[in-house]
Amino acid sequence: MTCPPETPLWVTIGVPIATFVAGFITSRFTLSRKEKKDLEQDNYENSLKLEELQEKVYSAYTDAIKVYVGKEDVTLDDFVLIATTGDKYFSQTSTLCSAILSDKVDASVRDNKLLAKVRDVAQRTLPKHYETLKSIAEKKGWPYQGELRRQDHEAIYAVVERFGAAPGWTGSESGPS
Amino acid sequence: MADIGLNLKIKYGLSRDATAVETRNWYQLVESYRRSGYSLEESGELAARSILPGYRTRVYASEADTIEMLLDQAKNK
Repeated sequence: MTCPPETPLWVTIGVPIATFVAGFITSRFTLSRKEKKDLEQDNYENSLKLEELQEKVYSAYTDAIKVYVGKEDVTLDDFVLIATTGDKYFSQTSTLCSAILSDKVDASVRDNKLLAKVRDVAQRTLPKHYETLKSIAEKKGWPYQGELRRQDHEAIYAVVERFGAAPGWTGSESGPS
Repeated sequence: MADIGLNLKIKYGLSRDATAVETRNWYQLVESYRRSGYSLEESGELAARSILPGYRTRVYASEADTIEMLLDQAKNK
């Protein structure tokens, strides 16, 4: 390689090395077109799987309430089934929220379907669940210590805070303390 | 039977649960629509519109709507 006599040696050697190093580092931290497509596909499939699981816990929860509503003489077991299937419904919603927070779901599915669901759970279903169970337990004289605590559903409230509450929400966005 | 009445309420947006008699009448009407060549879904809709209370006057569209309505029923039991 011939260089003009005024070019310093460190430029002649340093520039190609720096270019190589910069290119290497950039490729480590950015995704190729194919890698990006694969990630999008993974996120989409993950969203579908999470939706399917959500559907299952929702059915179990509503079935438990339907059994309670439809029974003549309800027992403590019927009541406990509502409490436990409700816990599983909220726990699955938290899993869904953790996936949203770590960007493991498809952005369009998240914006068009999942966020509405999560906002509803935070703003309507969670308070209603605990309030109803407490009221039933008091009426029937059953022992029930369930209480809505933010730390039990942290991921759900974190999603509402990050993506915003639904219009018209007048309660505290950060949920119960 | 109460469970079917409740399911009909959610599916057809009724104002209240369908009673056992209404559910039976609805079922018989569905069967007769089916025999006249309507699909299962169409038969269900047509029969619900003609005999169930407050057909499509409520919307139980989201999971939260349904859960809220069910919890209210459980609370008032």
